[in-house]
Amino acid sequence: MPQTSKVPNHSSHGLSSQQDAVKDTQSLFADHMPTSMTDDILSEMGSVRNYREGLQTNAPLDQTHLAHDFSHIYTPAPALASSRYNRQMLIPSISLLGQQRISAARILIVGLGGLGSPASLYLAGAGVGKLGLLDDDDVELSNLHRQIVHREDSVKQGLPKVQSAKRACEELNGECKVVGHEMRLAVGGSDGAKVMEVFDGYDIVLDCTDNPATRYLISDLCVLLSKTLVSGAAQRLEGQVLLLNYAVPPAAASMDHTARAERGPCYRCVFPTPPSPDMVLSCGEIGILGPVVGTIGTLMASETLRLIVRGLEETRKPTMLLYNAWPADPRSMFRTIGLRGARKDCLACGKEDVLKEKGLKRITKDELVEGRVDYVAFCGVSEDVRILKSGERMSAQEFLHLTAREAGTENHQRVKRPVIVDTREPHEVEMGPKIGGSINIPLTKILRQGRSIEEMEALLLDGKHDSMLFVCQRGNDSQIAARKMLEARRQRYETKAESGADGVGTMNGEDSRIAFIGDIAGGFAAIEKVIRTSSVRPP
Amino acid sequence: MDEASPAHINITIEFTGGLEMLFDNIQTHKVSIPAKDDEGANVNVKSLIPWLCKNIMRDSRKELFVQEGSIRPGILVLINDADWELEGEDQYELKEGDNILFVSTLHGG
Repeated sequence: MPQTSKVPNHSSHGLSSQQDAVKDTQSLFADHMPTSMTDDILSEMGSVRNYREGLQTNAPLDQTHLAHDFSHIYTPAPALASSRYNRQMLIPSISLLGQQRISAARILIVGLGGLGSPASLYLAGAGVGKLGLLDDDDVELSNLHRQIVHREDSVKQGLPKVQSAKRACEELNGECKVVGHEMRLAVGGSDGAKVMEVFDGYDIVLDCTDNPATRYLISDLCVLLSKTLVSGAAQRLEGQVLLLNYAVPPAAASMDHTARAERGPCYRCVFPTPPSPDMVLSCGEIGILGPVVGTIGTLMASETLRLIVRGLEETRKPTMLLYNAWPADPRSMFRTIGLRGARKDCLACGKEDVLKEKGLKRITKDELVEGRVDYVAFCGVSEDVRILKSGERMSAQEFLHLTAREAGTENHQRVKRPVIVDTREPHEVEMGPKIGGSINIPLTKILRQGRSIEEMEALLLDGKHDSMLFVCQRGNDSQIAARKMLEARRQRYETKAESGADGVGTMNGEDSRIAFIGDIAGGFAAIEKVIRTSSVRPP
Repeated sequence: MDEASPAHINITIEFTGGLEMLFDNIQTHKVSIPAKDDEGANVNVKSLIPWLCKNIMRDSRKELFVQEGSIRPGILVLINDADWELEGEDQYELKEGDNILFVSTLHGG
């Protein structure tokens, strides 16, 4: 506090010093402040006679008496200004009105994982009026490296994420009303109406979920209920943030002042077609760094606060922020790209007449509530790869029995001496179990135009082997690798047959020794299961 | 790579969101592409895509980048950091110094 200034201070600090003066006049005015300053302030306040007399006689001050005296010229600072939110209110773009808006805002966070963790903490800390938390998962140990709202204690207790996060937010700010929604985000049956009701109780929704089907559903709900959507996503070392379905004030939407308020694009406008399920990988599969998803969740919280303070309106053109924690060029760590606006033929937020011309219809509230929009089917389900025939696959049990018999004399009918090709990526091999004698050729290398097929061919035909078994974590990549090998050999064989004299296509000497090329069905996951449940004795 | 000449234009190609995996794990590629396509027309984004598949893609899973002759769903194409739909989509004619960014949508949370 500037205590030696001779100029009356009109900043909020000056105001609060006046307020404090009323509360604790003796310490502030008599002991710590130069007389000239108290003079300035007090004369500014008007009649000071009683006040100064009080100071001089050192008599206790009658505060009700004072309030009565100054009420016509003195208004105390609003309570909010000296509240715990003071430091954010000092920012001119927030100020009193901004905090009043924050304190009245109703925010729903869907997904209390890596994104929802910092988002919920920061929004609770900022003092949003009502903070809704929606999730149906429990806290697990593997969440904690990034989901900072949860604690080990929640894992031990097996707490649902909603309860764990609610507890943390309430501990952080007892003034914030935190509402838990322990439910699966689903429509159809009684779920649809319930979800609609929950969403309708909020102004802004934060999509902190982890799969496309849920992302489309949240966006459609926000469109139907006119809610602003703050969408974030992160994977590995990268993240993205975008603002969707926000209200554009008429003046910004058009020069025509009679125009209705427009809205920004929705998730469907930006991504009308979902990616193929094979391209959608979860954090559990491909990994995520804590601070990366934390940065995105934090950015979502600040975008939410900005929108609240702006009165839920956005005049900027639609953009998406990209974050890369590990960029080749440090200048591209953060990058903002320009997106298209709302799509007139969007199935969720498009124009009725434009859709009609194309023979399309907008998704209605009833359709959504009744579960007639099938999000899972729309996004597809990643199915297990089925490109090998059953005769080209060996079960984990059969494989383990084969290796168990190898030591003895009993011959396996199909395979005696296999080349075992582990198709996992090197870092996955490092972190996973291994099969003795196997060689590691990652699938990405096998699929790359390179020499890996020739390498494998050379191993297969070195006279010591009679078969080739591919193995991976779950038995998907191994099929792709085996198919690639089988195809390469078939092509080679056909080329030989065409140029050969017989033309009938009999196997040459080399190939006739090859008993089997295929994979271990279910990969290491299946092998581990067999080992866990039996002590691998030949039947 | 060819030296810059009137027959070629130099552009920057970038991949993010895991797409770089298909392109030798390199995010930024500075390439010199023929200024005209096979039919003698100015090279546009449409003709750039097969060129990328042929010349810089190192993975045989083309379907992870291109489906039914166009960029697969879930990939945004940005021309000088703006959605290609603001620039004429695949008909956009490439100019010297252009930056084409392919962004794969992330879903994790």
